[in-house]
Amino acid sequence: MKQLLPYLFTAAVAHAATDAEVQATLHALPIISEKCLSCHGKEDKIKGELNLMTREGFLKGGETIDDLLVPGDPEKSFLMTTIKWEDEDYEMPPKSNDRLNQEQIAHIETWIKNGAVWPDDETQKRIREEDATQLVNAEGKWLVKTSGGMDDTWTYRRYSPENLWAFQPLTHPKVKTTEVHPVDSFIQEKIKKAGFAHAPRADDRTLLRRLSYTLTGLPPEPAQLSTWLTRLESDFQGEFSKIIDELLASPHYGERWAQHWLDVVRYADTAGFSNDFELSNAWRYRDYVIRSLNKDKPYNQFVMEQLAGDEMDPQNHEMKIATGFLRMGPWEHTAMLAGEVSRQQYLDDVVDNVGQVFLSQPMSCCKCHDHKFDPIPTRDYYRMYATFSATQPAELHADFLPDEDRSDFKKNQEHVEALHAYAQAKLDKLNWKREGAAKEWYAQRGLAYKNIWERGKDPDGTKPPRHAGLTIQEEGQLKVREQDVWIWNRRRERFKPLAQSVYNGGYRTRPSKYLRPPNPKDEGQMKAHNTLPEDFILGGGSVYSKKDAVTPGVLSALGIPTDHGSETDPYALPKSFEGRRLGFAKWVTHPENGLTTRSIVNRVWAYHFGRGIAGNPNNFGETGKKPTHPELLDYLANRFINEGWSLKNLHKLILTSHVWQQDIKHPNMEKLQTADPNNELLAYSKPRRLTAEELRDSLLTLTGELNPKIGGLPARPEINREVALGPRMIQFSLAPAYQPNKTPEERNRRSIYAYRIRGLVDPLMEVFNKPNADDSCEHRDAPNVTPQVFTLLNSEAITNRSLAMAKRLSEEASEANEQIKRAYHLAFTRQPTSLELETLSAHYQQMVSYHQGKIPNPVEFPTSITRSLVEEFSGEPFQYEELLDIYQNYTPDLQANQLSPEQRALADICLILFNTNELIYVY
Amino acid sequence: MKSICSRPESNPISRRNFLYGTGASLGSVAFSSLYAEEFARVGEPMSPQKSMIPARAKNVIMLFMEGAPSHIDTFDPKPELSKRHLQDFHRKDEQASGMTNGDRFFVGSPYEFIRAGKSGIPMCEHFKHLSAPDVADELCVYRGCQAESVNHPTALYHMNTGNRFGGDPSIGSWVTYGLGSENQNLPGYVVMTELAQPQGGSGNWSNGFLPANYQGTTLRSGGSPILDLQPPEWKSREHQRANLDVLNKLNQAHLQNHPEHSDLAARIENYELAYRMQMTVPDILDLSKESQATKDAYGVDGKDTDVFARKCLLARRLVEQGTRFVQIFSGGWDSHDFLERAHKKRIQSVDQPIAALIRDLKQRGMLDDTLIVFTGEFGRTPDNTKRGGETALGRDHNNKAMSMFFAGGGVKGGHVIGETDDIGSEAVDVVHPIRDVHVTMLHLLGLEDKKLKYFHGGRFKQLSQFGGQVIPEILA
Repeated sequence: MKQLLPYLFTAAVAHAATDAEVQATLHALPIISEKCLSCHGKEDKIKGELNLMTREGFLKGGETIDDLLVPGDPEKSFLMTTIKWEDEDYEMPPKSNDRLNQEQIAHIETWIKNGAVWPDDETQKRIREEDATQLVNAEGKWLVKTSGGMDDTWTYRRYSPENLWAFQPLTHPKVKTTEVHPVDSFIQEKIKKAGFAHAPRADDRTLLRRLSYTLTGLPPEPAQLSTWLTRLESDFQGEFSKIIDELLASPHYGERWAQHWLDVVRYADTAGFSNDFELSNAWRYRDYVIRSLNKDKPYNQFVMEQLAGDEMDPQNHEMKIATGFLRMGPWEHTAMLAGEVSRQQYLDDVVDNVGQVFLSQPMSCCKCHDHKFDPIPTRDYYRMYATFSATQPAELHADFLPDEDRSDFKKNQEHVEALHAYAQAKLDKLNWKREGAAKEWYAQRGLAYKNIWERGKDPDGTKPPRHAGLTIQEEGQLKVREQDVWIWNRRRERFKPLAQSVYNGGYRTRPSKYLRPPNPKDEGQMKAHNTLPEDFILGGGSVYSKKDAVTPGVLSALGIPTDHGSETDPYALPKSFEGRRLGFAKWVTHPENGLTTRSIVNRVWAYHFGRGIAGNPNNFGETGKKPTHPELLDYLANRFINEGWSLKNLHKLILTSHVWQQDIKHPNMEKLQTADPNNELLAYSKPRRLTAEELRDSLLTLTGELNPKIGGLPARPEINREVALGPRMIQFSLAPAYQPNKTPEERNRRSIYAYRIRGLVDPLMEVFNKPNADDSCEHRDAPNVTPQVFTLLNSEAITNRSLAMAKRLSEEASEANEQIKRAYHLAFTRQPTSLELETLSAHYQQMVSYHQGKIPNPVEFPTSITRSLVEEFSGEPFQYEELLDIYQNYTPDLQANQLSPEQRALADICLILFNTNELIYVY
Repeated sequence: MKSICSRPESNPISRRNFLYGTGASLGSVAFSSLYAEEFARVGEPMSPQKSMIPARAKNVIMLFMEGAPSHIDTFDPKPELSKRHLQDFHRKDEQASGMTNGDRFFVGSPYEFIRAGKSGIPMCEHFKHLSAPDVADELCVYRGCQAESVNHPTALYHMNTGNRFGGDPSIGSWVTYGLGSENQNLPGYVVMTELAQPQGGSGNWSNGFLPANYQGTTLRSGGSPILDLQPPEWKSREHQRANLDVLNKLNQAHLQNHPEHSDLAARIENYELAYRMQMTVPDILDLSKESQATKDAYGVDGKDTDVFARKCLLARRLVEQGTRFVQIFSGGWDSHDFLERAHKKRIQSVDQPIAALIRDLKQRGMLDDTLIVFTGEFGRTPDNTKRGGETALGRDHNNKAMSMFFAGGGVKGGHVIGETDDIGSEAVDVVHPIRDVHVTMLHLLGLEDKKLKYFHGGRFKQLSQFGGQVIPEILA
């Protein structure tokens, strides 16, 4: 960290060199090197015959331009025109992400004015070295010591201190006043300075709904809410604080906050790409996260376990589950790719996401070159890459834990076995038919029969045709059944004590359909397993372009040495198989690592306020948004460390502040919106729309259908059947249809438990902006799009909820107005206004007469489906039957035809309430 | 595989009524001040935008042959390869996949080639309709594109989104983001798949980090064309209207109490738009409004052509009504084995519908405004492993050579651009990566890749990822 501390500027730079030489070396030539040479210099390609590696090259110009540089005269130098983008045909550099900023343009201008001097290499070196003795230069720009860039220009470049905020050690800001809540002391000072007052506190009912959603993702239970309201009347501060504790103690807290974490780590139950292979036991990682949050496991421990739990405590089976974090990215290896390329994809994904998730640094920015903005050389990228290069993905044995729910195993096993048996029977029949024809073929030629394996390598003409005896339809079916047998056999692993995990060892090329540790009896496997990986900087990010060798290490710019570091290499990690990740994890969770602590407190803040103190929770670099309240951020981070990295304490601190409790209304809103259009002052609260999961879970709560069971095998809720049964290509075949669980009880679990297939997204979740599982999601967007209306108004999923709620209401109240009141109580925890009651009551009567005499058709559930697919062997479509075993013995949700006209009218009322703005927004 | 995940910036300016989708937060607006010429949308999420440079085409119909058609057997004849037919060789290349290593032989094309139209564009004999002079002379066949990935899902993502690993906005999303749509009662970006979703699924038409308004809407051939477009059968339209009126009343009262909450009005308006779309969408999809002659021309109800024909005809109807970008997927082109019969069937399934589409657009004066793109995700190898023996010849994946064609707005019809080596193993002339094809498509639509950007995750992003160039040879 020391190198970041500003030193006093003491002496002028380089006596021997002229000012012009110094300016050229430190300001102009680095810009030319960074911005021009990739096309007009380095490597073998020189565009437009223009070589900008030397002054002579500038003076000579290119194929079309000869007045590129007129030393002493920027006006006449065409260079200025190109870098200012003033000539449409010569906008340089052409990529706008690379464009020069005003300061850089000024440096080039000064350089030309000074005569465009170009000191020789020796002089440049001397000037740079002299300059490097000043950690802060005359312009207040900082030098950052790192492990070094690919060239000196990068190594010695300077940074504006405000862009290094996240790399600096935590400061220790004092609260601005002890008169108010510590958080408010920082917020309110800024609001005051801007000439405003903060908004008043929201009313108690609004606050309790807000609190319940932010901590549990569920609406408050009406009876509970009434009690809370009474309690708040006597002592708001004291009781509100206790209610926070009660909610933090609820197991639903862990579910809610695990969902945030799963967004960031990209949880899914399948691996994506061609085959979308099932990660059968991924749910154990999901439950580990829920458990850890509910126990308020210190965050540093939580981080260490996910990165290196297996190295911390090899005997602890839960730790193998925790390192499932390193398996969350989409990844696949098949014969379609060279093994080394797939391996690189896995490691690149891990490195980039470890950076984003824990350090708020997208590492992919420095995979191909030194970081363009931040002090992270590509060397550090590959040192981090080497940290994981002995990490191998695998399914490992991990005993089931007493905390893990296995109550659904038996039912699910029956389903898997049924579909496996079905596929096997179909396959046997096709094989039988083909082998019958093969026997005949051999018999006709007087040859001895050879089975499919024995004859495999025989030349054509000496064996029967590949699909002997099969029609074109059957050729396609054979391939599908072969895949299905494999898929369902593989899914038997759902019930085995396996964890999607990692182990340490050398790399073996293995298809990702089956990832197991090496067989100790297999010499070849063990040889690869025992070969320590060698790591290199990969030129341009290509695995075939190996440059300097690197060893495992951490990011150097922070100046935090590792336990394993030496004087010459303070940032080194062990080179042995074991200990790399553990060393890395210790460095990540080092209390002085301000990236880590700022990252997590900023995330927590962002989930409570809809936006982080720093606006890009995954990117604290120069291009990410700067913190609006940097002192508060550091205050929170310090306090977080001092309070034992407790997330629950952090929640409580934030939620007891006035700023979190503010109303969405502000007495001076119009002026405030002009002065602070993005509400960066936080002078009032912003409403937010429920997330997809909150919406579904809330409706299930209102109807009373929610099964609050925690954890276990993924639940399969009903999703739109056209999507569920829609054909999806996988390699060689179609993916099996999505079938829900048989009973409402199994299906109507919280959304976090829903089976997450990367290639098949529940449209209800998708339309309400559940993020994809491929990219780490730092923040969920919530735009209004029309398909949301179709879903909320017409879909079976929502219609069924309205029916269930109607039934509940008709059981809990006997008369229409009472039922409507009860509905309001459940949905909004308030009484309807007289206008609302009148309107809905009249509508109810009208709807009763509409529904009289109409009998809705029951929904029919198909017990099998005919699939159609274009067969690659023939170019023609073929058909096959797929068994939908679940629907053979299915308990549907309550159906419209099971309700009376009065109940259906009530369902109309419920559907209307589900669609209101009042329900979908949290204030 | 949708990315709805975006930056937290919210546009505080109140959003009034919208079109296909209301009230998105168009975050890049706030950042447009960084570079004055950076693109900033005006108006509502789908309202038409002025093009950045003069546009040569307004709409796109992209015909995606999933699985990768063989250039050698469609638009790029290789007589030299035929001479080497069944010659053996062994490849051991550590950079190659398991699929293309080992004992191999060359495979000449099983098809004859014809020279079509005045321009004499070479085509496989089975393009009976596309080779008609009035159609063939509209085509600009391009043989210079090189993909990067040799694996289907990553190559599909690359061709559709510019990013091999998915998660980014598809080209259709970028185009509708940049240009909006001409019809506010229809989706601006429509996707139709032949039978199954392609590998990688909806990630191929994802809006990525762009607002959800720009996601491709899949129109289904069976069932509900747009998911949940209609209520259950026991609810009539009048019934729904009555429900909506009550909902509106409740929402209006709520709005009175929350005047500062700008999303409310937009969301109310969305219900009215949805109600209208329930009428307009089925209408557009109703092919019975087309003459029998038109349907016959496309091959509707034809044995091999019916599925693709219906989608091509729908594409024309949608573009006619103002949809900006239509994408149709045809599956089953991955002929590792039995190429002769499989590719023939695949060609027959798309040949007549595509020819009819081009002719139909031309007759209606729409071809000049519409860019047609025919492509796969990569090409195929001139050689094959011996696994199938000599009776099951096919080709493996090839990211170094492929054929695609363009027709319509702004492209040089009746030309073949670029070439591959003697045996079609790699492109050698007018060679460009996929991003340049994307930049060229944007250019034809009057959009500049370098300006069509969106701030996400701390930096500006664009379709080409890092910038690309227009392929001038393709332009008329």
